[in-house]
Amino acid sequence: MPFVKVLKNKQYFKRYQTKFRRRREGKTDYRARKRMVAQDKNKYNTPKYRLVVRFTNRYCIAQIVYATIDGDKVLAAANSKELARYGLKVGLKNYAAAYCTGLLIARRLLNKLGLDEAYEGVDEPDGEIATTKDETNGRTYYVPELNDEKKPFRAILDVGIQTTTTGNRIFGVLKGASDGGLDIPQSEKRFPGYDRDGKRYDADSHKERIMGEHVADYINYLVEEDHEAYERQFANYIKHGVSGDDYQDLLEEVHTAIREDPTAAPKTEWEGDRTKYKRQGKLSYEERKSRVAEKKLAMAAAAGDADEMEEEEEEE
Amino acid sequence: MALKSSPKGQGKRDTGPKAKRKAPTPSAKAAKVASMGTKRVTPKKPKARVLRLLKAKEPKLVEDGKQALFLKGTKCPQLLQTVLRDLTKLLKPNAKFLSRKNEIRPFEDVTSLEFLADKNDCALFCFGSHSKKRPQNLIMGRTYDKHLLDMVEFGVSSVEGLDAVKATEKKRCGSKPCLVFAGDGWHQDATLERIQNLFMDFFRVDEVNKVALAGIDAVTSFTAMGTDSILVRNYHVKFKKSQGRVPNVLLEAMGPNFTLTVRRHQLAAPDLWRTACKQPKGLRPKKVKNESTNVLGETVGRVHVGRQDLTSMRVKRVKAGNTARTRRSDVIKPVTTESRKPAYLST
Repeated sequence: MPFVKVLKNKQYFKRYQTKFRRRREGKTDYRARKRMVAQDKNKYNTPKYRLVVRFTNRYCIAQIVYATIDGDKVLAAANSKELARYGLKVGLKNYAAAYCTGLLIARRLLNKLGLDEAYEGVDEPDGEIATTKDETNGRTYYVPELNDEKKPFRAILDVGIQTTTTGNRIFGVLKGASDGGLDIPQSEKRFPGYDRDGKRYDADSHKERIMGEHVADYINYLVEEDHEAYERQFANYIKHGVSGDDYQDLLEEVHTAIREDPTAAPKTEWEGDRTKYKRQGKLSYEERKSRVAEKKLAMAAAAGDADEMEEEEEEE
Repeated sequence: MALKSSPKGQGKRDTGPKAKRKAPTPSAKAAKVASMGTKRVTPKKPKARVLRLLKAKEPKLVEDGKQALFLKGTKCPQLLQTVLRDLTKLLKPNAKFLSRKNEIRPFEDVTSLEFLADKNDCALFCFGSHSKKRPQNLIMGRTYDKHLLDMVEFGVSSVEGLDAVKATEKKRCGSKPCLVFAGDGWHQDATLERIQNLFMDFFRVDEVNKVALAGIDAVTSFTAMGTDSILVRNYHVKFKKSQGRVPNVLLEAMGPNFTLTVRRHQLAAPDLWRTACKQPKGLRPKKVKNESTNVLGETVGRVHVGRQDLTSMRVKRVKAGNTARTRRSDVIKPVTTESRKPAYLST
């Protein structure tokens, strides 16, 4: 056997440093986080906020978060589960729902901070990026127009460990929050409708995504081509009475409903989960004793039967 | 908040005359060896990563904020470790905590501390140790040009950690605190004055010329009790709603809180201090002529006006003035007037 140098020797393990826990778990990109959280050198101590967007298997979650030495704190949160209140009960993870969630968190936050009237955002989504340049300080804000008294609320998009592919639903939340009146730095490069080869951005195709046309088209296609597949894949849509043709109108209604009342639903007391199996109470000492005695009797009876059987066999 | 000049640079220095000096000429012996055919070894070119790192460490006109290094001695009690860890948390991301024990006695030999400070690119250090003679010992200091500038030794007592103090909210990451120095000692005692300077270097994070008021969310207060005891308290600033535009400001204890007792200290020698405080040429403010500041801090300007030419001035001519004019013109050029006529002309 050739000589192999031991690389992982005592010195290696002595000096070895484990990575942070969330790095080991593959949950946090610390390189990105450091840049999102750290104070900018040229920003004079301005507080920094992140628009954190995450997708679960069924829902989309958006939060406005800031970092303290005690841990991250959430200023406002919205979940696409809440969209049921505004009329959207199915398809809570698609691009259109992501947009609605973004819109919801933006309106909710601005309402909380008293900025909702100063920054209305974009009422009718058009897919375009709205920017305004402030002549007094030369900065660019990603809002359609600036209020004279109050500056817009700026947040940075935090996508976590998600790969930022063009057309990713994460950018639906970004677009929704941006149209809701938040000032979020962005470019069209990752929006649906951007052509990487031609370097062109088609705002209309982005608008179509926001209005769920891709979903509606597919529903209509399946209805015509393969009705069985339609019933299988869109069972929940059928249950809630959502068809391909009225999907767009439904989304429009949801958008206006969100703008009317973005506040969170009042909290209800949790009364425990009664639907599931309920555990029985513990047996008392006497009960256990009698149970054992019963079992013993039964066993003895069974043994007696067996003995008799054996005896019978021997006789034969 | 008192603003005083403090040492510039982060353990780095402008390339002075030393760096410009030529490399010594090779001695005759070395030349002979080379001619005898020994292989000349060219130094290996460093990797791009190393070069980038070295470039980032180079002296700059405006240096980055100073980083602080926190270390433990061979013995470091739990109490002192909480202080070290909490201070690291306060200063993050401008602080680094080394979790290993170090056999260093800074007042006896500072070289290994200087090495670690340079290695970690930290100009500030905070070293916690414990001994029978000096229990709960905390040494705070800073380096300049990769060497020690000054350090002060404190005894730490009555510690309340970050976790021990319950607050609704704590400071944001990387925000700049408001530093408050209370007590007469900061102005009267020369050592305390230098300690104040050290504390400001330690806790101010980055140096900026403007600050957004909404972003100030922490207050670190240093109260000098006499000349040898300092109370360190940390507060979180809360902005409560008020009737007007300006919010009601509330201070809430956040921690860590502790008391420092000044022990030994090694302050910078006057000329080292002067070089450390020196501003690089490009940063020195340009002198503005005829402008000065008075005692009240107001800017006073001096305006120079050339002498006015009165003869060319156009003024309204009045009869009374005429006589004066004629009289002056008499002086300038002789005018034949009646009185000056030769006697023979007069009748």
